[in-house]
Amino acid sequence: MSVEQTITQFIVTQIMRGQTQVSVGLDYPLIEERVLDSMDLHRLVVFLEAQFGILVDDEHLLPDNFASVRAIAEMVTRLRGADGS
Amino acid sequence: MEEAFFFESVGYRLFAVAHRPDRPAAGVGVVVCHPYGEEKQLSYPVLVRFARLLAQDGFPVLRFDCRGYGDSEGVLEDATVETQIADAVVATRLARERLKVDGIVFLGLRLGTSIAARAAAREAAAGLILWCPIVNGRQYLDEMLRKKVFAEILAKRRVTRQEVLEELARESRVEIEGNFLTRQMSEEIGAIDLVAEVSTFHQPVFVSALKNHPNGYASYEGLANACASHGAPCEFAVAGERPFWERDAMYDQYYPQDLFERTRGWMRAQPWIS
Repeated sequence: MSVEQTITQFIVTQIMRGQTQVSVGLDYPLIEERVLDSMDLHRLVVFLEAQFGILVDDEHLLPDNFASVRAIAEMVTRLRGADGS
Repeated sequence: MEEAFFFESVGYRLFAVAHRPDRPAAGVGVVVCHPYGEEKQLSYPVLVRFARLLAQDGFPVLRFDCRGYGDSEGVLEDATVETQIADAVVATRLARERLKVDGIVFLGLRLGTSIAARAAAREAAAGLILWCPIVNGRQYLDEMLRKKVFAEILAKRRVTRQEVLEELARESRVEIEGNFLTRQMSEEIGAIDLVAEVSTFHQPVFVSALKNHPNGYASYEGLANACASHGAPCEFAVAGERPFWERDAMYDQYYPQDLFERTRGWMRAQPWIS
């Protein structure tokens, strides 16, 4: 499963809990459409850190990095590269 | 039978509910120590349901709201870890009288586990139930600061945890998810070391953690091992599918039935049942 698919699956199953009136595509605006609240963001970051073995520190906690599945996946890829994984 | 009433703790009127069984099973009762902030409200249905189940099993239960919470007097900013322990101690003495029990078992959830552990040591409790404990206060505080950062992200603003800490130092409080976290509370939370707090407790302990915990179970197992290493019989259970102190779980009316059953089984298996 790709990074994008893993993130999408987590958002759909764990955050939206299957209540998918909308289809979460790669560029679906997660913040603007209020898919995520602060608790969800917390859970998402904990998931990303555990799933991908990365550390999302404060310098990466930026609105643009959580704007969409694509933006989140790009951040994960950058952090994995930075770790040499 | 359930009885709601107020009692006084260091100048505050605190709200409590006593759950009395029809047929007491033993001479022990349970005092419930709730979690911090919004988690207290969100876990309320679960704690009420579990109190009723314990009463059905013959164990009287006292639930109470610490100062600044729920129906008790004060605002959340009045509460610190130390005031919550003081309130728990007063509640415990009341529980012994009102519930007519000799022994007290403390049940804590999340931050309430630290309150429960320290009250248990002070009150020579008969047992300790630690549901999803905050083992490391620094880590928990960090989670809270991150939630503030996440709330700012949703407003498309950028703030770092360091900046939140600076605001806390400057203003003596910072708003996180609709509640004010005070500097004193943050310092006391940051100092929590549950392994050290249980080190003087030698009675039976039950520790639980949720299934599929993203960070694994090392800290919980360390806590359970620490209890066992100084002679406190300890059971560690992985139970409960979802964090029942969060909004989604409450909206979905989720109850951790397996956690209920494991804990009830542990209560029935202890030496206070003859």
